Amino acid sequence: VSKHRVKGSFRLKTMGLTFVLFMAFLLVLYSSSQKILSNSLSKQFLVQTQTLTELIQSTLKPYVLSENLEAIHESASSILAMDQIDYVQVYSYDDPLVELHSSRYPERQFETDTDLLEAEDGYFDVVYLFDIEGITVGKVLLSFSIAEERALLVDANRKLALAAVGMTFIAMLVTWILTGRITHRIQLLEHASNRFAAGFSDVELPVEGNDEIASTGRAFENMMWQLREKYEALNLSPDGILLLSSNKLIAYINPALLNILGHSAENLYGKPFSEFAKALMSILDKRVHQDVTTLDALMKLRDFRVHTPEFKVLRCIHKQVDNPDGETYSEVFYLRDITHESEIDRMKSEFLTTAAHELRTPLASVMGFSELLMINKYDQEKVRFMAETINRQSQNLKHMLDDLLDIARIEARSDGMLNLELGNLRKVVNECCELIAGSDKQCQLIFMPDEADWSPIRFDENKLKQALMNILSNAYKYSQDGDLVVVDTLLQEEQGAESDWFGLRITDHGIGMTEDQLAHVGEKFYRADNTGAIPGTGLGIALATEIVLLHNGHLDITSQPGEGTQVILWLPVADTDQKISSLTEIPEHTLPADSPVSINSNS
Amino acid sequence: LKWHDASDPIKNRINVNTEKKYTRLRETDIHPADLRDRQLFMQQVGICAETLALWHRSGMICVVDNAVGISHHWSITELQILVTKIRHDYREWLRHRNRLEHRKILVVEDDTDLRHLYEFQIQEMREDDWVHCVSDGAEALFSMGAVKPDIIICDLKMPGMDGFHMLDVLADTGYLRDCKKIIITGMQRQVLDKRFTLPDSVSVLTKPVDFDALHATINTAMAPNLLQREKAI
Repeated sequence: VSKHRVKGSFRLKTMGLTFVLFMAFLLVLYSSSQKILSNSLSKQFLVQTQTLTELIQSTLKPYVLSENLEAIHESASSILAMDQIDYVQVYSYDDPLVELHSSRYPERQFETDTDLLEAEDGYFDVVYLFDIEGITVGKVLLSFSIAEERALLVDANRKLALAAVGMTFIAMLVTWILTGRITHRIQLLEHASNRFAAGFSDVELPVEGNDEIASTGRAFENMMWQLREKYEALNLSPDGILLLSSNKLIAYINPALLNILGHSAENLYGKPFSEFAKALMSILDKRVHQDVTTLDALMKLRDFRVHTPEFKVLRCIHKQVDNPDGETYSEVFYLRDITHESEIDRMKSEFLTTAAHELRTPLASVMGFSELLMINKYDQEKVRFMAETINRQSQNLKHMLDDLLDIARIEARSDGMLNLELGNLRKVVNECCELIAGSDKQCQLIFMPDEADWSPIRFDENKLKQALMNILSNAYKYSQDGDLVVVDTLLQEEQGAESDWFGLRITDHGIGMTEDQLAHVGEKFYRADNTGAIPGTGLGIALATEIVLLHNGHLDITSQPGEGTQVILWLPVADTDQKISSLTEIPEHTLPADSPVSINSNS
Repeated sequence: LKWHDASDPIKNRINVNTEKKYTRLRETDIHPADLRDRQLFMQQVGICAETLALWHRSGMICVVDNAVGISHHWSITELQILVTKIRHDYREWLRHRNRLEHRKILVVEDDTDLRHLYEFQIQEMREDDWVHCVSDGAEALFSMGAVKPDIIICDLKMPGMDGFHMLDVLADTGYLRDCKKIIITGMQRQVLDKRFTLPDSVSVLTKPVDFDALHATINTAMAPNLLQREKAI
């Protein structure tokens, strides 16, 4: 326990209260017992003196009236001889007649007492008056020696007071010990929560026993675990989180944020906030944010770019936690890495712009030429040329729209599952090849279905046809008239692999792609040929890739700029037992080719 | 295309960039020591200093210490042929026309069909107009010196050198300052404004083109020009 807060502590308060309560209680006890004691003593004394009164009344009164001095003296002597009486004086009216006192009676002032304790010198003075019809005719002054009773009383009083002090002391001691035990455990809790808030995880908690504090301690431990869980969650967050305490010190910073800030910010924990601001400003991309010099200016931006050293786009959300009085208690800085989102945003908007541009171009041709045809009279040849252009551009427009819709559908996955059927690709490939061979471009298509090896696979006919058409039309698009386009099949038997792979290879001798372009193939909206000389939306291969992936297959694309491109569409071969059944099912299936083609994926 | 004339003295000095990655250069990027080579180049190809500056600024030709690393070159001869052909075409056409009446229009558009369309449309409007179509900014800049067009109709998004780059270089060099520039683009005006600050003299039409508007723009632009030419003669 680090330090005791003495002033206003629970222990001191309790002790003060105990003291006051005990004192009040004991005071009442003391005074009442003193009263009872003195009362009882007085009573006893009065009873004792009762007989004396009778004696005085019966013997002394007649003598005083008759002023028989001798008799008075005699009876006074007899009274003096009585226990405790040390002084006797008899008066007739106000004239003293006889005054007797014992040898031990000191010189003292006679004072009538009403209470035993008032007689401080140990003598209790009593006056007996002789009344006859309301007139005092004489009196007897008596002094009782009550030192013994008084001593008894005083002794009792002292003992009472002593007992009271003793009781108070014991009560204080017990309170001290009891509150000490309680405050120690409460202080343990306080210390633990301070230590935990400071980020230490090894804390000592009062969990022993069954009392309230122990159960509080257990509840506290429980809470701590939950807090730890939450911190663990914060630690796992891919977004940067920083908590700032009310005194502008960094109370928490998660690994993701440290990662963003880089190695320079390793020990930001517990440091003032300015350190974090400095670290953040140092990684800020100065080229983009030339005018941002302070963190406040940075916080006003929606997003900002940093380089760490790779470029990242961050979005900062700053939230102040206020206490009920409206003062800022702590602050939370949430830095979200939106590099990916902003990249996708940028790609989408770029794609939309491109798509709009690409759609407008054929539309412009269609509108312009039809306008010309409407207004002017041209010779047959020109009319034919224009009509052909209109037709070609309309078809172009249609293809683009189809591509756009397809990609939108695949992205939304609204097509649901594939309509898989067992069979071989021969028919599909044949159809596609016939279709593509019928196009404008006069490429030389080499496809020999009888020579190929048609393994049975599971596929969705329409989807695969679409993928194949995209690949084939790409091969045509990027080739010159008269170039060769070869379609053949491959079979790859991998040892230990779950299934064999059936490959459909489409090789062209067109313009090809550079390594850089190849890396981007299959990305949506990416066009290897950015010249725009070849129509397209940059979706063909993206679509094909998506479709082949849905079939658990993959596309293998190799290319050399200027030499041509080779696309292999790999699909898993269906199981062997099914192969047999499929063989019987498909009558047009030809026998496999002489030898399986060897594969070199780097070729 | 590669160099094939080994005896060419400036073989390793001036290269024509056909990689279609153009970076605009400033006047100061040419070292004074290259001036002699520039003279020779101009003589050989048959172009004036203005044209050379235009080509250079656009990044189409660049001066390098050696040709290593640049895979595509145009020979001087080929440049000569290119320039001569454009000039020849123009002169042939000019021979049969009234010098006063015709207008020279340069169309820069990457889409073949649209090029045809513009040609048809413009000739439909005025048979005497000379229309020269090119497919990108670089080609346009190649022919500009020879043709000196009155009007440039250009697309913005084009393969190779795009319209932005071409107009930028023209604005930069002040070449053909009096020439009316008309942009025909598929881009929306807001997107365009965000990327490019156009001078007021440049008209913008969006695809699909309203040809009446195009004709009107050409006519208003040409009216003072024709008047001036009349006066000069």
